Amino acid sequence: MGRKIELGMTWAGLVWVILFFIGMVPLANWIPLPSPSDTAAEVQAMYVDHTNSIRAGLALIFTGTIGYILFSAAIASQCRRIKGAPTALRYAQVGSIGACTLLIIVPIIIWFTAAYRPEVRSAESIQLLNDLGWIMFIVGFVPFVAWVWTVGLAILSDEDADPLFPRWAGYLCMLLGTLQIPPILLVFFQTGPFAWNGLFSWWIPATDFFTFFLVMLVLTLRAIRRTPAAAPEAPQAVPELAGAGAGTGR
Amino acid sequence: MATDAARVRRTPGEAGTWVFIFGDMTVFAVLFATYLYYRAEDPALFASSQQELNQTFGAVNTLLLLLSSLLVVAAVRAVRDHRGVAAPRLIAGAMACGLAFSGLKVVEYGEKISHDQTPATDDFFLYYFVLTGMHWFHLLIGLAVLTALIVITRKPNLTARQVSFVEGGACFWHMVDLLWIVLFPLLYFVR
Amino acid sequence: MFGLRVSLVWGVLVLATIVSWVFGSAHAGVGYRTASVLVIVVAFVKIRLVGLHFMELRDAPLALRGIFEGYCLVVGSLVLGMYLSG
Repeated sequence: MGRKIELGMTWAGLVWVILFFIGMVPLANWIPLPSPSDTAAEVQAMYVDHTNSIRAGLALIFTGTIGYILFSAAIASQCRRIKGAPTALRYAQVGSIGACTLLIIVPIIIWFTAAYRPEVRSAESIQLLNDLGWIMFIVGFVPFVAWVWTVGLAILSDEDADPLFPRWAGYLCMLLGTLQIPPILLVFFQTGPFAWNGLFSWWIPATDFFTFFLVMLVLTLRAIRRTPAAAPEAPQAVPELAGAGAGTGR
Repeated sequence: MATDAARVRRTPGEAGTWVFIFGDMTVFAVLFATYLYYRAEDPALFASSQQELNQTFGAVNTLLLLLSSLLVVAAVRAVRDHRGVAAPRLIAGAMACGLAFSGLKVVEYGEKISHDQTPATDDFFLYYFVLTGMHWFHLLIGLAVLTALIVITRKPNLTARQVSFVEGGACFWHMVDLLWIVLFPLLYFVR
Repeated sequence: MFGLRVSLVWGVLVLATIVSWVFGSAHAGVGYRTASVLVIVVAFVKIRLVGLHFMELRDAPLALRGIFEGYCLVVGSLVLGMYLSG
């Protein structure tokens, strides 16, 4: 049963990705992203003209983020089975997952607020909320980088001759984590490739993030299925101090 | 080393290292293209701002990185030939070059900023700082990798996986060199 | 310590750096456009040497070497093309 729940938690990640795309693309119509160089009046018009589709799209992503939490916990749980992976990596993963979740849902709440009564507020206040939401959403890479890097390091620390995750995935995680850092430049730009809707702040990190999701989805499902069905807890017979944090869902 | 007639094809480092290295190199290729795209928008401005750069810094830094690459090549050979003591010293030499590069970078940035040439000055300086800054960030990661290599190569006997890691880390350092070889002429000379 | 081949390659790289430096900074008798094209071509020849001899891609499986050679060719042409059209 425990294994089925873990498989389900991993699939929940795909549910989140699907809801994210439905919410962002057809509903909110936010891909490509609203431009940071739009005037306050243009931003207000966007919220006034599409109030309900923005609300509905965001509501989908917001709710779907439950799937994100389950998925990232499933990865952390598999990292726990890696032979030789230091406990500190799992602490960092579990901690950053909490922060990542907030950095998805808090910007959505801010956009919810912008879309709450856009017609009665001043254009400037709508623009402020819109800026705040996007800047937080795109520049909030800190826990995501820590998360992806620590997953990568855990994979690379595998001492088993037949590693639980393939080693190339560890190197891929190190790259994917690093590519999340350039959006720091968005605070300096309103146009161009480093602005929040630009190549280096949005398109590359977003592609990168969903690549990580899909690669880890497949590899985590594979890792869970490698658990000996008769004694799924056998490799973990010795209780560990950090077990409680990473063992969600068991 | 092996003669050309009897070469055995083998992957340097772990296969996974190359996922990282080629991925990173591709991102830099996009950065080169971005620079050239914005340069094409205002070639006159880029040409005149470029004149403000001190090419000596860039050229000396290129030579420093080339020297560090040679030392890293020698270190990898020392590991393979089981000359235990040589490898960490050679890598330390490469790190000294990397630190000297960083020192010059600080002086160069300081000089630019003291002349009020900052990322806010114009598009040329913006991309100059962004591109060299991203490269420098990779160099700093490279210094961390080289530190790890010193720790590993100090051990008397390395496992096959550790030798692989040393090769992969060496290739990462060569990549830092390689990217600078393109960045330097692109930013300092091409006009 | 390095072998003759690597030493030679290194000598060529240093020489190419100095030549580019001279060509790029002083006009050295050619127009700046010709000098820029030369400097770009030299740079991509240099990175190919670094990849083949320092990274040892020369002896790597053909797929890996091919990706690298492809990178030098494609990115080199892209940079040159964007320079010439810009």
